[in-house]
Amino acid sequence: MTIPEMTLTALNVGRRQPLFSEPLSLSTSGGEIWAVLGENGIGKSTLLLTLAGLLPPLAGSVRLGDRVLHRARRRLVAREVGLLLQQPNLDFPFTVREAVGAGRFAHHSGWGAISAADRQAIDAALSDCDLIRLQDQPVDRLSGGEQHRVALATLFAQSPRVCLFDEPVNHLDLRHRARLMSRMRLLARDENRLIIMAVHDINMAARLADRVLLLYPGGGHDHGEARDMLTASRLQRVYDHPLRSVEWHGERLWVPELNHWS
Amino acid sequence: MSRRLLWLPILLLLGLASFVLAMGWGSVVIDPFAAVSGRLPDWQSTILYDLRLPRAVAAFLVGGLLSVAGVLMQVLLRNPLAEPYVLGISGGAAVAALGAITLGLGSWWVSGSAFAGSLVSMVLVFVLGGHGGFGRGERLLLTGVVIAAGWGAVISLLLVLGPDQSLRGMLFWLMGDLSRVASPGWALVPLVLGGVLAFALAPALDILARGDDQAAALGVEVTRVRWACYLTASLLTACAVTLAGPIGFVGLVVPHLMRQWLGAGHRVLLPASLLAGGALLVVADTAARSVLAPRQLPVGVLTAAVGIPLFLYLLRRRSVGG
Repeated sequence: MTIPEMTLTALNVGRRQPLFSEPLSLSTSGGEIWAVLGENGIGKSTLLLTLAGLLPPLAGSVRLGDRVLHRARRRLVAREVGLLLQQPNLDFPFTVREAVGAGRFAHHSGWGAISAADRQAIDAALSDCDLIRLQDQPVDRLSGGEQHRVALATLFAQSPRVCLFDEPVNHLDLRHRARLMSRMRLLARDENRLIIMAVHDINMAARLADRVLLLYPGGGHDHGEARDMLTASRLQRVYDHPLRSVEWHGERLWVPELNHWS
Repeated sequence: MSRRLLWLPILLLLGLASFVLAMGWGSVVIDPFAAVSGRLPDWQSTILYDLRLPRAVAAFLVGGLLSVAGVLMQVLLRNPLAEPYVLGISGGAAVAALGAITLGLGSWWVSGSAFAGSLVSMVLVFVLGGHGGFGRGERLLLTGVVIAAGWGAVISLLLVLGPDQSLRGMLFWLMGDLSRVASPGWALVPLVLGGVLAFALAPALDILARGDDQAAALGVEVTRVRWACYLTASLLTACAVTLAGPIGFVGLVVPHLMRQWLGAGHRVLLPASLLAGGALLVVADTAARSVLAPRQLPVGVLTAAVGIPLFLYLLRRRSVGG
């Protein structure tokens, strides 16, 4: 598997209004884990949709290698770039296995029979997300956390070189959260995939990410090495709220100050 | 998957059985198998071949058209409870058909107007609600619902202004009725074409049911598939309305029932809904012309009478289970 390189050139994103006050340029490559931090409504999801090529950029471009994503055929993009959305939208009674199998759509010719490779990818994804036991259940009856695991397993079955996650640990209990974080680390470190995640949990970013993109209120942004970005002053600017850090076994974790308004 | 496929031949047999029932049963009971060996008196063959057969064929075609359209509409609006008429197609057809009846035009004109009216409604919804990438389901749905309400007002106006002697015909048309259908064979063409197109889209429809963004992220050309889905569903519905007027609940209940029973995968769901919808409407129409014989009920009344309680039961069981 070649190492993916995703390049953002003078990018601005949004549905009508541009979200950034100045264009964003950065280069990413396989093996890296990026965390995108910012307050509610700042445009993290919009940015991820643009990176997946689902929303045309308002300015600039997103390239994977030399391919401009939003102009490429969807099936070709889907073999390279996958996106976990916040809402799993599982309203129809597909079985868990069928739903996860949707991840293979881009890899066969639509009507083509499921190949041995597809089946293997689906089995692995089901087992990674602890869904083997549930595989014949209809997805519309599952709990929120279980549905979220189905969406994650769909992405893993898709097996793209660039994995975009919008709030990856939403709804997950502690064990599945920890398993997912280990899995994400593995995807980057051992399989050289590029991971970009939008998260609210600064500590997840602190523990996983090597690089961080900060989106400030008002449209400013900043990016760089995680240890340079995750500082009290920058985070306070991102969230418009003071934070305190605690050192723990060589890792620095963050907690918000309480009663800040009193 | 393979075990579910086994249900398709069973549904096919049910469809055939429904034809046997429709041929045999009614105000006069006739042995349809006797017709094969040619031992029937002439007046009975006339009933079989000139009255019951075209009517059964029409019922099957309309049931199939509505059920396939229902499946497509439900994916398009990502709502398992959408029905083919939700976007106002039957309303446009009804206004045009009632207009033709008011003018005292013949049945061909009424059918032709109904088809033209449904196309006008379809284009209207599409132009007003589909603008800007034809992406978002809610806008299409709301546009369709509002347009349907608009047609409803025009229908009321036509009923008030229409001459008394055509009122009965108008009401029968509005309730959905198969008694006037003389030559339904042409509807086989759109049913087969639409069915094949929908079936070809089946793998993409499975993904589209996950929502537009997710489907696009998984490799579906969403805009193109949604277009194909909308046009196919609308044309199928237009053909059904042209044949029989608006017959409620078939396009809602049948796909829903099949989905609960055989799962949501469209490779099985589409043919199963077509067969089950056809068979159901054949049986319903047989009952509609037999229960109070020699009086005939509009079949739409009967499908509503069966459909509403069945649907409420399914809804209830679903919410208790989940």
